Amino acid sequence: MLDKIYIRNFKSLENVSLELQDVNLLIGANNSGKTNLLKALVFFSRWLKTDFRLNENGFKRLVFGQKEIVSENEAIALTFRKKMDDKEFIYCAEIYKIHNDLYSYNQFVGIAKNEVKRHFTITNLNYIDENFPEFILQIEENSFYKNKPYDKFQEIEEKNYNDFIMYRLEDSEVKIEANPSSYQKNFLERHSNRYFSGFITELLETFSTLKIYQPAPSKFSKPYPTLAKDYTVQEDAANLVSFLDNMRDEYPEVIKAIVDDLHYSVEEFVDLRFQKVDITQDSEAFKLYGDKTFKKFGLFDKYGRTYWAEELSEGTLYFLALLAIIHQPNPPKLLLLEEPEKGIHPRRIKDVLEYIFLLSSKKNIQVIMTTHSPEVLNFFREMPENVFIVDKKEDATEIKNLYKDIIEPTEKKAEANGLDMDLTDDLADNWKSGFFGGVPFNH
Amino acid sequence: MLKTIKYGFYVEDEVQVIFLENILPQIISHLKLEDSYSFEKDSLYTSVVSLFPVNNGGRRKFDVTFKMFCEIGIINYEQDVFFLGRDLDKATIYDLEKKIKEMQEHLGEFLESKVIIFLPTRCTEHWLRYIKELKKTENQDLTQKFEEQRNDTVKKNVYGRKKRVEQAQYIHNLCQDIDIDALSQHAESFKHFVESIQIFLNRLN
Repeated sequence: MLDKIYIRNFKSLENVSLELQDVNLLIGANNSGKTNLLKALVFFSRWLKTDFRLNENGFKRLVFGQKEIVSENEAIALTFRKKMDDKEFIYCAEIYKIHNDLYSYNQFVGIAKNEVKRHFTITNLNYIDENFPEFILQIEENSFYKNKPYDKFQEIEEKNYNDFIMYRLEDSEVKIEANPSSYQKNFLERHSNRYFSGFITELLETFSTLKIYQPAPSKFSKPYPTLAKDYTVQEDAANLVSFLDNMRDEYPEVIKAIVDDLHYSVEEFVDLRFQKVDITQDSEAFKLYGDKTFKKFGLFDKYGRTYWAEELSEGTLYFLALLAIIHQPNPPKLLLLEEPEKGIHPRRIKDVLEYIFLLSSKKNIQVIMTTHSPEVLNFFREMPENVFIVDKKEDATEIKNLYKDIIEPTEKKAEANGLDMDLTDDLADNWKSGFFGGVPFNH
Repeated sequence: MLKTIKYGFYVEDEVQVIFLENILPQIISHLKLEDSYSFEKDSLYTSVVSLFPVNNGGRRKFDVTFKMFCEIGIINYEQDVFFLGRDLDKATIYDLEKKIKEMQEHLGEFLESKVIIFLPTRCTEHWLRYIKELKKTENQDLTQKFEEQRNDTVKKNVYGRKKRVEQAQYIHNLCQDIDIDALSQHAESFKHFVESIQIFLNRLN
């Protein structure tokens, strides 16, 4: 799991950082920048996989302030910090544009200074920070540590980097064309057997399957072609029929988990049903997917009736899609969810959240989700440190931790004045009252 | 030297917001303190914090939450004073004093000195009714006690057939050039409000 992410110059995120927990909740007014944070992570994931195609306008629209050309200091920068086996690591990627169709990027890795001291303060080495890389070099025989520690980070952003010794990855300063090759990922993989191997491998794993899930019932309630090895739920869950059909044949335990959870929350439904659907050549589906076997799914109730997807409520369909995302065989290491409460009855929102927490702890999955729901926020009553308040100040997004930046200092100030304040008593009410920010401005 | 007093507020409805904004400079003038003090609404607070009970919670919600709003205003926004406005619904000065005492006890010592409570008997429209009538009669022959009339009767009389969207501007217009002495003389709960402001300002000296 990532401990901290830090994003610079991406869309409205001029300069934000978040100390993450296992399940994280972003709340804020519309257009405050919640989704941009998720998009920044997806951007990095696509950049790593090199399926991101930069074009003139596209890049400009990604940069804070929509600047045409950005220098190294104005680069889109994404930094991830993580503790592994008691060691603290940091990784940073910077992407910027030199001139038309020519982009550049730098990658850096770092290790915590205290880590260095703990492992390498050996008496006869007369240790000082600057000598450390040479020492590592002797042990690791690793060329990219030859570089001196990179001090730029200390200059630009003390708060996030000053606990680390940063190294520029030697061959990362490469000019790339607008449509990059598969360079980035290969580059990281080539370095993955070195000192930072575990960290880099996990970083690659985390970002290899990243998606922002926002199930759209209107898409998956229609007949869909059943595709072989369709084991992953798409962002909008449009392939739900095909996914469920594959699970039924090859991962029955996944189907069982989905059906059991659905039955627990919507008691009348006890099983799933599938039906082949004839598609005419002039239909929209045929034009989209061609000559395939199309199916639709339905829910079978305890009275022996089947309700086909088009007959089910949006809420039920959405709930089913969420269960599919949660239980899919290779769920993402980092799950991004937009408004998981959408279409769900307030009484069932608790169930959805419980599944998400269960998934996080059982499968070691980190979750970042957005919400506008008071019910969702109140679920976090005993863990306000998992909640982030997103506000827009002028053009830039500001992100605060609900506990560390808002509740704790306010309650301390109140206590100093002899007041006994409890802002966690009703998070939702206090949020709507405007005590935390993350609200639209009053007219 | 002129001292600007930054204020926040939590009230039951929009009528009280408009009334408060209009009446505060007039009270300062009435007390002949315009060279010493001026009230300034905390615009950051009023743009972010809900000024009324959320979820259409009404009076019951107001009673449960007003202390927290005072704390947020005074502690987080570092306001000099905080106004709490609520319709009393009851007609007598005994009820007024009882409710204010109850609210002050709930606020506790620290907040009490920084919070000014205004509770119109029975609702703010009763004050507006007096204002309307005083303007019409120029303070002559006003013998009626509007507190004896029900809220809906008084509201009908104040607003007539005005649509809800027109009411805000109407209240704003009505609240210009109020005869503070005359209103205090007829509406005892208003007199109490003016006195509370005076006590607060005296304390600042």
